[in-house]
Amino acid sequence: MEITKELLTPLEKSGLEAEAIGKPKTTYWQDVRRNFRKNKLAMLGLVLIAALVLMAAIGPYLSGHTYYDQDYKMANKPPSSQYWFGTDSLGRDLFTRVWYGARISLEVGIVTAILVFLIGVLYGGISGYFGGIVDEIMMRIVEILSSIPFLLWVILLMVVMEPGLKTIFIAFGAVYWLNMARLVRGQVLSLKEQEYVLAAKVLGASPLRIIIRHIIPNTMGPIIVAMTLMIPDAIFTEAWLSFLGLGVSAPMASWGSLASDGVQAITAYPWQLFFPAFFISITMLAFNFVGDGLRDALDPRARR
Amino acid sequence: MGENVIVAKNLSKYFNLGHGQILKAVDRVNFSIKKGETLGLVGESGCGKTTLGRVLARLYEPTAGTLEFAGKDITKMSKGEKFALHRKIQMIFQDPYASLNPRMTIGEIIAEPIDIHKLAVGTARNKRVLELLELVGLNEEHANRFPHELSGGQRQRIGVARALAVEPEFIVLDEPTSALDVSIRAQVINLLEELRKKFGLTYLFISHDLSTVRYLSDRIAVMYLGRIVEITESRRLYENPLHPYTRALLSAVPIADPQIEATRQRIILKGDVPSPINPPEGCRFASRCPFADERCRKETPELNEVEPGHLAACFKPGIE
Amino acid sequence: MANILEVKDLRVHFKTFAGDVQAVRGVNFHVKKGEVVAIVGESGCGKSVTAHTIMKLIPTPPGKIVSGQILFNGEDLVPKTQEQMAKIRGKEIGMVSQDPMTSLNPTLTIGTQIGEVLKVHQGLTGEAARQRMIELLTMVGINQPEKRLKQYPHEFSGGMRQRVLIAIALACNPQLLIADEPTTALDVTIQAQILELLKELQNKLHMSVIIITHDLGVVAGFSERVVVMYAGKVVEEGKTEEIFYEAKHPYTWGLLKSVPRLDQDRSIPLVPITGRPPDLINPPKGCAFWPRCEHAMKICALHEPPEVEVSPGHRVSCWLNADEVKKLTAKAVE
Repeated sequence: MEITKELLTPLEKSGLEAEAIGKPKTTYWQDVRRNFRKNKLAMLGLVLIAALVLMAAIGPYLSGHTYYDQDYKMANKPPSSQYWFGTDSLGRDLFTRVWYGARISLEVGIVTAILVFLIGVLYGGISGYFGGIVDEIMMRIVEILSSIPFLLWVILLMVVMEPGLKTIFIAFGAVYWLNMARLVRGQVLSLKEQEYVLAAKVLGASPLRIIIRHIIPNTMGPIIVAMTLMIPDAIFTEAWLSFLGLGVSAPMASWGSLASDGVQAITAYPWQLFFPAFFISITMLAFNFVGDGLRDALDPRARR
Repeated sequence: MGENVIVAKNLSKYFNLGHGQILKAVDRVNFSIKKGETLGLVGESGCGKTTLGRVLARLYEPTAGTLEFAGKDITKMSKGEKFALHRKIQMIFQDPYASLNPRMTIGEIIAEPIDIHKLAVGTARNKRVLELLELVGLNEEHANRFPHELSGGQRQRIGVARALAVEPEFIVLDEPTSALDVSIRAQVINLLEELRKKFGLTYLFISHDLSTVRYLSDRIAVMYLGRIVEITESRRLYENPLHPYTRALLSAVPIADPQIEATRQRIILKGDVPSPINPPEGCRFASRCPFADERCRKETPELNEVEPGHLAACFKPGIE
Repeated sequence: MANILEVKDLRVHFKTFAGDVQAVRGVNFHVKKGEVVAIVGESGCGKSVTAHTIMKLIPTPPGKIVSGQILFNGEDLVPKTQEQMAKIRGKEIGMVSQDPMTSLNPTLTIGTQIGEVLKVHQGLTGEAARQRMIELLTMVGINQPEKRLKQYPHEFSGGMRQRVLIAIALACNPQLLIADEPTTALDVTIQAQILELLKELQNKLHMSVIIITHDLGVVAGFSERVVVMYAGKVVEEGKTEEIFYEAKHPYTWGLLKSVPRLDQDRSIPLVPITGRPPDLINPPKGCAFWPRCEHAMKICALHEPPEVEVSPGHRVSCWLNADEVKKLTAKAVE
C-alpha cells in the first residue's frame, strides 16, 4: 500500500456520523414478533386458531344442513359422505353442530377476554396506582369475591337469570376479572417507581394520564399473555357447564352440550363424543401454545 | 444572582416502615439556593440526597419543615398554584434507560409537557419540539424514533429537552451523568452548563461524583445520613474542608494524575455507613469519626457559620 | 521479568440476529509477574469480554474465540476444555467481578462459599479449611471472622461482600488476579478501602493483577501499566506515567481532557469527545476512532493503523505515529 501525501490530508466529516443511529430500526413489537415466529409450537397454535375461526365462520354453511333440522331416519349414523361427522340421536348433522359450537366457544372466550380486560385493567390500575387505603379496600373486595367458589356464582346467577349464553358471559365476566385485576395491580406497583413515571409526575401529568399513557401500555405484555391463556380456560369452563346442563340450552349446540349428549352413547356411537371432545382439546392446546409462545417472546431476557 | 429561589428550613422527610422503624432520609436540613447558581449536593448511599432532590421536585411531601419557592411556602399553596409550579421546577433523572417511556416516540416524550400545560398546539407545537431537539444537539431524524434506538447519551439529552419544554426556572438534576460512559459525560455536562447560562437557570446538582460536582457547582452541600454536614463555595470546600467527613470524602476520591496519587495522604474511614433507620443520638458521624468524644455522641451539632460563607455541623470544625 | 500472561491477536465474536458482534478485534498485551496492569475503556470497548475470555467464561454460543492465543505461563488457554480450565480458575487465576450483590449465592453461608473453593482446588476440609477461611477473612480485613463464616450474604454490606469475594478469589494464592470493575458499584470511601486492601495484598502475595475500569483516577492510583482499549482493539499501551503525561493516541487525549478532576474547576474546561462508540457489528473501515477524531486523515478511514513502539514499552496504534507518516511530514517540512 502506497502512503501518499494525499492520504495524509485531514478527513472532512459532516459531523453527522458521530450522531448517527447505528442499530436497524426495530420496535418492541417487531422484536416480539420475531421471537414468536421462532417458536414452532406457537406458530402451529396460531395456524390452528386461524383455521378454527375460519371454520366457525363458514363451517355451518359447508355441509348444506342446519344445526336444528331433525331427520329421524338418519339418526345415529356414523360419518359418511353426506354427514361428514355423522349424526346425533335426533338425526341432526354433527358437522354443522360442531362448527356452530365452535362459534359459541369462541364468542365465550373473546367476550370474556374483553370484559375481563376492561374491568380488570381499570380496577387493578386504579388500585395499584393510588395505593394506600384505596388499594387496601379494593384488594379486600377482590379477596372476598375470590373466596366464593366459581360454581356457586354460576348457579346463583343461573337462578337469578335464565340459563343461556348471556348469563354465561355475565358469570364469566364477574369471576375472571378478579385475577386480571390482581395481575395488573402487581404490574402497576412495579411500574409506579419507574423513572419515566416519576418524570411524568414532575411534569404535572394527572393520575389518569399517567395510568393511561405510561403505565397501561407498559403492562400490555403480561396482560395479553394472561388473556390468551384465559380463553381456553373460559372455553373449557363453558364446555363443562354445558355438559352439566347449566349452559346453553337445546337446540343450541355448544361443544360441552354435544359432549354431554355424546357421552351417553359412547360405546354405541363413539363419534358423537369424539368430535366435540377432539375440538375442545385442539382449541385449548392451540391457545395454550400461543399464550406460552407470547410469554416467552415477551420475556426481556430472551432478547438477543 | 440575587434573591433566593429555594429556601429550606428544618426540612425533613421521614418514611414510616412499620414496627416502630422510622427511616429519617432527610432530617432537618437548612439551606438556600440563589437564582442562577448551581448548588451541588454530594454524599454516599443512604445520605438522603436523592430523597431531598425528590422533595424539592415535589415528588414527595415533606414530613416537617418548610420549603419556599420564590418566597412562597410550597406546602401552603393552592391546587392551582401547585400545578403552575410544575412549570417552574423540573427534574432530570439518572437512568437514561428508565427515564423515558419505552412505548413513546421521542417526539411524543418531548411534546408531553407542552400538551399538559397547553403551551402550544398544532404546527406551533411541532415546531417547538424540533426547537427543543436542536437545543440539545439532536435533530428531526430523532423525533420519530423510540428510546431504545438511541444511545445513553442521546437519551439523557432527551430528558434535558423534556425538562426544558416548560421553560422552568429551577431544575433538580439527580445524578444526570452517573450512568453514562466517561467520554459522553463531558458532552452532557457541557450542555447543562451552556443551557444554564443561556436561560438563566438555577440547578440543584446531586451526585456522588465529587469531581463532576466540583466542576459544575458554585456551592456544594455535603450530606451524611440525612443531615447537611458542611456547605460552602466549591473551591473553599476543596481547599479547606472543615468537617472530618468531608476531609475523608475528598481524600478518597481518586484523581487522574499518577504523581498526585502517589503522594496523596488518604484518610481511610473505618467501618460502613450506618443505617438511616432510627439513627443514633448525637452527631451521626460520631461512630466513624476519629475525633469523636462524649459531647459528639450526645448532642447533635447544627450547621454553624465557622467562617463567612462556610458552614459546618461539627463541634470541632477544622480539626486534624 | 517473565510474562505471566500474553494475549496475542485475540478475536472474539458474538452471534446475534443482526449479525456478528466483533467484540474483540485483535487484542495484544502482556502482564509481567507481580505487575499491576489496568485495562481502561468505555462500555463496549471489549475490556470485560477480554477478561472473561482469559478465564474462558464466555458462553460459547453465542460467543466464539475466532482466533488468537492466551498464553498463561507459556501455555495457551484457548484450546483448553472447560474441565481443564476448571483446574486453573480459582487456583491459578482468580477473578473478582463488578457487582458484589449478585456474585454471592444468597442461600449459602459465607463459610460454605469460601469452603467450596478450598475443597475443590486444595482438598481442604473440616478444621484445616476453617482455619484457612479465618486466615483469609482476617487478611481481607473482616473482623470477627469466626462469627462471619456462619452468616449469609445479605447480612454483609456492599464493601464487606466485595472483601469476601476478594477472599474467595485469593483463597488458593493465585498467580494472577483479574478484577473487573471491582469498585464501580461501591461508595467512594468504601472504594478507597478496597483499593488500599488490593494494594496491600498485591504487595504481600506478589500477585499479578489486571484491573479493569473506566475510572482514570483509579488507574492513576493503582496501576503500573495501562492498556487503553477502544472498539475491541488496544489503541495505546504503556507505563502509567507515559499514558497520563505523554499520551500519543487521540482517544487517550480525549479521555484525559474530558474527565472532570477533583483538583480542577471550571477554569479548565472539559473537552468532550463528540459522538459515541461505534457499532461493532459493522465497525468502521480503517481506524475505529476516525468518526470522532479531530486529527483524522483520509488514510484513517481506509486502513487500520499499524502498531508503533514510540519508546520501549509504549505502543500506539494511530496513523499520526506511523513511521511512514512521520517521514513524509518531515520531508514536507524540509
